[in-house]
Amino acid sequence: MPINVARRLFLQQVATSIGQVPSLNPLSFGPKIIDLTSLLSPQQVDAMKNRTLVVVQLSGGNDGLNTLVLYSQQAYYNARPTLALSKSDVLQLNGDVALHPNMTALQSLYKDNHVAIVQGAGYPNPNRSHYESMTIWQTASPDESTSTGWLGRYLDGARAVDSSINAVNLDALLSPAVIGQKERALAIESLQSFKVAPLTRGQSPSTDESTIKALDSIQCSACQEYNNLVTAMMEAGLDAMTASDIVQQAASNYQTSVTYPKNDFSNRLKLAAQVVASSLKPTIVYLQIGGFDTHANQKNTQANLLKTVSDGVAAFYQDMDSKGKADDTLIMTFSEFGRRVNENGSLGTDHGTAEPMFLIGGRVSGGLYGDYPSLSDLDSNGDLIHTVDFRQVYASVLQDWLGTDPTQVLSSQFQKLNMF
Amino acid sequence: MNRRAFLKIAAIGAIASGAAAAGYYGPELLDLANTSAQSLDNQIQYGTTSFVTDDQKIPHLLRRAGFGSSPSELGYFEGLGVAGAVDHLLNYENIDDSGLASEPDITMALTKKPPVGEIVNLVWWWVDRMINTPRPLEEKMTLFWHNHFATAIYKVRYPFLMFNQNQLLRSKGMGNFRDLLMGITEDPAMLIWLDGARSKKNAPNENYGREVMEVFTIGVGNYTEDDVKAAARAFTGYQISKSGTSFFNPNQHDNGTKTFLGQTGNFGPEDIVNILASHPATTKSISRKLFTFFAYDNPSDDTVNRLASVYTSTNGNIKSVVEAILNSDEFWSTQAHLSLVKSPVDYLTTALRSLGATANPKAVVATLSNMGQLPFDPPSVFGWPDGEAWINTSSMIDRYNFPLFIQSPDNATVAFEDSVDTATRTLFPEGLPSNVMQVIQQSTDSLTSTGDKVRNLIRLTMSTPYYNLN
Repeated sequence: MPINVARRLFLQQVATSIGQVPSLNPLSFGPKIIDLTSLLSPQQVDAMKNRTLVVVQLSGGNDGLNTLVLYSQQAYYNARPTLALSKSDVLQLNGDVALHPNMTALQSLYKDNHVAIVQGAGYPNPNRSHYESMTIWQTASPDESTSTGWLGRYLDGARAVDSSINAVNLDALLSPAVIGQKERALAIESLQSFKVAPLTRGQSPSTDESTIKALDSIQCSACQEYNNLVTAMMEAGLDAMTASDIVQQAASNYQTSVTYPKNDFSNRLKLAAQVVASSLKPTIVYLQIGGFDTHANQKNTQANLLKTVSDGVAAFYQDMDSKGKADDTLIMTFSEFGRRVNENGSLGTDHGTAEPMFLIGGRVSGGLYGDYPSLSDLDSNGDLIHTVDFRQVYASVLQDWLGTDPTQVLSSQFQKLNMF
Repeated sequence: MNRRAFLKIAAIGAIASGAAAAGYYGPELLDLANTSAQSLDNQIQYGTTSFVTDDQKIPHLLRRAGFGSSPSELGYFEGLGVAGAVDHLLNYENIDDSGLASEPDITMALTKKPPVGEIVNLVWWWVDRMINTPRPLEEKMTLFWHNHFATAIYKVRYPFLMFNQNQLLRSKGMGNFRDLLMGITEDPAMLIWLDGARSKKNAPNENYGREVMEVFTIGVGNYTEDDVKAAARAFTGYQISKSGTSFFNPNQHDNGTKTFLGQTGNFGPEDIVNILASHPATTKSISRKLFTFFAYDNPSDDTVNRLASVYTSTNGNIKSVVEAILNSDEFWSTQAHLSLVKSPVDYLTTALRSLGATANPKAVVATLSNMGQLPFDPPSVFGWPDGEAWINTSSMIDRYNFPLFIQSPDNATVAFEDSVDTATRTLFPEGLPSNVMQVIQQSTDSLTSTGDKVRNLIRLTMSTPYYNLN
């Protein structure tokens, strides 16, 4: 089937010809549209267009203390009588800190200087609610409630300059991070499900074409203003059919010599690689892995999760590298918070604050950034005090990776970390 | 007469009596050329509120307080009138539902290895109830509470514990909120989900103590981290027996003095539940959440306060609050009508209920899972998002594809090809705009086999933005 990249354009023409111009920004998310048009030259946009930022959200609150381990400190062992990782098991990065024993794949990339680790990322007045803190990381707005995500605001600006810039969220539902005031990411739950099925299996293509054409037309017929939700569904439907054609074609041409681990997270990363290779060429890919809320029996749960993340991310990086795209790839991980320094009585840990972030890519200057938070100078709740504001990391990525003025997206200025 | 027989009659245009009285399936259909404009003209103005038209009322009610309606059901409720219909939905205790399966086909024991594969049977059991129950509001409320006290099998692991929790939500879902909250606090699935069963008196686990305030009752901004710690201490002592029931072990309970939300005492679980259930912030948060579930987003403070006063004056009686919502001007206003997006569960159950059709349980589970709303498996304790969150490129394709899994009754198959209008109105009683109808008609005419025609009709109708509104 030929790729119909012009569906939405067609829709707009249809709408215009019948005198009803649909609003292409039906959902209003807030008072402020960020216009990056004046800030980015077309050349700058072009230069950034081959790059991809892959954001990996670790949902539930990953225990940073057992991810990046301060193994030189007795305070660590005192706080974690059952959960502490032994000095001989951890993967030492230097005389003080080490990675969890299951993160061998990332350790190897670290040795090659492709991994930047931000120690102690957080924000002032930390919130210990999953929902609230995740929202803070996704909107990058700790003090003021906003309905736009930080990457959504980036998209608003970038697509105003070049509407071929895309973002893809590999999930059934969009993360608030990738919803802007006008723009939002495409959602793809899986390759298998992202395909309009034929009316009857094995029937003639012409029958399919007729019903799929009708599906298209139905969305177009709904251009008449009924309400914003109708417009939003119409747009999502048309975008879906266009993107589905593109992604399916790219996936059928896709080949890799890399063996991805067999689990849902790695399947999604492989899908990310297929989507990156498609003509959608997404600038942003967003995905998440859950299960980090380890209030009880943390040891094995977290160990398995960290192995999944480390092996999966490394496989994806190698896949990109094998296609000569290592320098155009940046993977960034975060979680809504780290966990309490002292373990609880259920062989687990409760909600805490600061956490390490990992940035992996060919252009990354590997190493440790920021200071490891003190294990003795804690806040009144017994939690770590952050040493780097996560918005400093976002600012660095926005400016140095996406070529965007971070103050426009983050509303104020944050000191960058020079990670590239 | 069963639904299939009714569908056949309705579908071939012989007209179910109630529907005919309301003008639903009769020959004189609304001019569909401009539905939205016409709706506006027909709006009745009382003060500042504009109300839905008479013929929009019962479809609206049955979508919100149920899972849509077959033509026969629509006719029946039309016959009751609006007040009678609300009454029939609310007072369901004596309606015979013995035709439903009372239990899913799952293992009812804590086996050594959790039979997680049984989730297909468990989900289908509940979805089948939503499709076929004569007490739709009972299942709708169960769904509301499942989303409110969101608990997921991915951590609980045992389908029968999820089933038991579901029965708790069903039996207490229209009673007193305090009793429901107490039941949930002691519920084995919840004790696993939020680690209550693992909380020890010497080092309490904060998980339930936090979420019971943040998500289940008073909400963020009404408690401190110290209140979380005090609640965690008060909730210590619960354990789960080998048979899968919970019990309170006084030896694991922290008997010390706690200060919780400004009150001090040797609090246990019941004390915390009592304080939270009667807290003014809870009366508002529960009222608001129920309202946005049934009516529309962002209710005014006046609306919420009015419902909160119903909550307070009835000592937290949930049914009274729901009744007040279904009888409110807001519920019957144009602001409410079709203002919500059908959740995946609404999308799927409404189709099968309306058509009197069935689908392969595995396809149902796969579709709901792909669309991000598999019952018994919400993504987190915050439940599912709603509204615009359901609209994205992934979910729209799922909505175009699921109709192909619908197994229509044979008689409908024959009848549907006769009338595009009948088919579309079975799924969307208000009727589609004429230009959309035209596309569906033309596409269906271009097909030759009856099977293709019917599948195409159902698929295209369910793919319209209109069907996907609630």
